[in-house]
Amino acid sequence: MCADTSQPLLCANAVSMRHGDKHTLQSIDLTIDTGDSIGLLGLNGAGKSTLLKILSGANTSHTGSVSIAGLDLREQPIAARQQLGYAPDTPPVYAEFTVLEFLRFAGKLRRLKGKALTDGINNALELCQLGDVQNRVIGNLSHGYQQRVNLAQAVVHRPRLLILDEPTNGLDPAQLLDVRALLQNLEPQQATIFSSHQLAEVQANCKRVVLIDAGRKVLDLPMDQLTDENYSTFEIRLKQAANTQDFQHLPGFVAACSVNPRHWLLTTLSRENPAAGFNDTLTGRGVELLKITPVRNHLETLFSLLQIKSDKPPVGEPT
Amino acid sequence: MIKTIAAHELRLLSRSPFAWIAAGLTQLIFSWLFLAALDRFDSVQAELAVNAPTTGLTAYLVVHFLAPASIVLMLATPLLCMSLIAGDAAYQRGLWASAPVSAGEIVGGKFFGAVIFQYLLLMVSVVMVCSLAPLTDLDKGHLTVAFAGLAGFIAMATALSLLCSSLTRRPPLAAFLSFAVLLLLWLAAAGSAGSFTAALSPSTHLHSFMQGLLNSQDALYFCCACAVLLTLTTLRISATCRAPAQPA
Repeated sequence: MCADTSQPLLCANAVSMRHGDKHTLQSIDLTIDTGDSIGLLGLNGAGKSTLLKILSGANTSHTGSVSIAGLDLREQPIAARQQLGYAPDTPPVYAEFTVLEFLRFAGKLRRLKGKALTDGINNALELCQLGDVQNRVIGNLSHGYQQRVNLAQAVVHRPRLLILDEPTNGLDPAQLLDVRALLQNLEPQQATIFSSHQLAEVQANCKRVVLIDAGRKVLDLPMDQLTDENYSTFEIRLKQAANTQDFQHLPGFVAACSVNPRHWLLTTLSRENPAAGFNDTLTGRGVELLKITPVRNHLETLFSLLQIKSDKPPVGEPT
Repeated sequence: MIKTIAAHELRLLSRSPFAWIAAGLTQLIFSWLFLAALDRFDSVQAELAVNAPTTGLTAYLVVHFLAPASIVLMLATPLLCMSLIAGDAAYQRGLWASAPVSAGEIVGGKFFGAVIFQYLLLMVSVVMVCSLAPLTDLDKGHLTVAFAGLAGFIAMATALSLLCSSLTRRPPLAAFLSFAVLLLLWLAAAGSAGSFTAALSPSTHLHSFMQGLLNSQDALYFCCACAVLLTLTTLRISATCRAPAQPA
């Protein structure tokens, strides 16, 4: 079964998962096109790793559907997994193998043979700068090198979609730069989605940012809308609970991100404080605006607000 | 793909200090059993000539070396196979589950890798017995059938150990579980001959092999047992992938 190149590279529809009574993921939609690089952000326990496991086919206990290049991960798992490379947060390596032996096995596991296997291994060694240690036993390598081996096994078959779970975890600043270079050196027909706690990493490497909180997608924006001077973000507090629909008709509205139903971050195209325009529109929908504050760094602010929310139990009143 | 995975498992076992220790101890016990059987045969030869004239060295070796060896294997196989899935860190961390490999291929590859490793150990025993060939006339047919029985038992014990290894993430627990089940099945032969429990027991079916009788029913038992156990392991692995992940 061949991959359908006319389809989005990854298409996840209403992906949800429960673990006992707890919703680990709730109705997450995600589309990734060729050339995309998506940063998946979220606090610990937000559901990032679980989502990446589902997208990589390592876990199929979800509801909803995931397809890779038009191939459904449940219906055609072998063909779909052929299109992706997955690097989990803990390197899935065999400590007793040399780097070369492990990459050869990882390549064969992805059904590479002969010249394709040799080329794939050489490419992965070069991309991850592992040439000098290719004959060393993995167990004797530092954590940073083991993380590189983890990345190398994910790219050995030149997958179209690269799924990386916290690839910069535990790396020193020099190694961070190497991983950044690796992500920038990926072929244009590839796409990447990677999770991270580090906002700077996401801002440096990604074209799009997706933020997950308590299993819900709370933000999905192109990076330029967060960093471009033509866009502005405002933190607003409301007297009544609102939903995203209430903001659709605000002047210059681009995106809304909920901290709680009475506390939002709104991104607009307007550079001026739109308090008056906001107030009129929201009042028309029965929602009273209490406070509006311009936000300089949208991601950082949102992250710290989510952190505060997770530390304190909800009280039902505006914070 | 099964060949690739089997070669990988064989390589993993050949680099595992634990596997070498388990294999070394098994060989030590096999050698001791072999030499003790030879020594005892030497001393009871005259007595046998009077009381059981049909019992030659081959039959004596089968009873005093190969039959006890199957009991040693009942302990050695779970120890050698406990880490096949339970202790495979790369497997647990998603390397295999995200690769284009089916559960059947994983199970088949791991099974054949472990079985080949143990057959290599068994070959040492074959060499030990064959070393007597220049000195005495051995019943090659009887020995071949007896070793074939042991090979069948190893395959069945490996399939069971693989299933137990897929049920837990703790290798010692997997080893204990598979040893307990094997022992239970072995003891089931103590029931009346022809009973259902006796039919389930590998020792019942190994018995005819040890007598030098190649019975198709007994051969079929080992084949079916392997097929059933490997199918259950495949289903278990597929189900594990569908189980909810622990929240991060």
